[in-house]
Amino acid sequence: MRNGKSTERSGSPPANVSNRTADPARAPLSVATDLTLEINGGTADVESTGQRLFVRFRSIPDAIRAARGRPDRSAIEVAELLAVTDLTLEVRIRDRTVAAIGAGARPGAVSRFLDVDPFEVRIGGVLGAVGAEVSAAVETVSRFLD
Amino acid sequence: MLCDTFLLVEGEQMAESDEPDERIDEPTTWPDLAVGLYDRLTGRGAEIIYEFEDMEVQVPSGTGEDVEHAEWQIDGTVRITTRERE
Repeated sequence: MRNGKSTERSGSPPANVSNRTADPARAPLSVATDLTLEINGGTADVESTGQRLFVRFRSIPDAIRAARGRPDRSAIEVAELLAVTDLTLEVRIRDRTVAAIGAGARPGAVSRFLDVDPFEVRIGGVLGAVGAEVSAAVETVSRFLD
Repeated sequence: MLCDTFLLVEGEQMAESDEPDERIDEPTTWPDLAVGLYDRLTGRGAEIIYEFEDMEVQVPSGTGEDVEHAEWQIDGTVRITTRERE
């Protein structure tokens, strides 16, 4: 159920939209965003460089809240959409890329082990984000105690 | 709380038409919607702009009667243009 009104009137594609070809990037798009997204209280800024989208969460709890608000099985649909449009989406937490999905993502053994395929998991980014989160928490506590 | 859509063709803002002959098949998947959008925009120097003003959407976790709903709020602008197929 959506609140507010919408004037969106452009969702009627021509008849040939179901004619799929072997080329996964058969509708390459360029996207420019200046967007704020909030899911269940988890806030993210959505930015882009044309072919690459960045969803930037300010903290790990924000990212977790947003992940819990994602529809079931939505990752597969999003991956297909991004592949068709030749776009890549990076999930960043505290300026570290922790995951990627879409045309430029390469999910591997780690993704399969964590059962997050089609997301590519960036272990270095995850560790960096956790470290930054801990540092921020320590700094907050230190300020509180000073 | 609303979403506006504009279609710019060669620098001019156009009102979107809903002529019957353009409404042939509704897309059933996100990739089909993207291909439709591509076919609509490509070759016309066109750009489609979505403007969201604190739009709130209750997103269901799935289908069925007892699904949970997440509250999404979107604010800002998305501009979409096409690129040449490589």
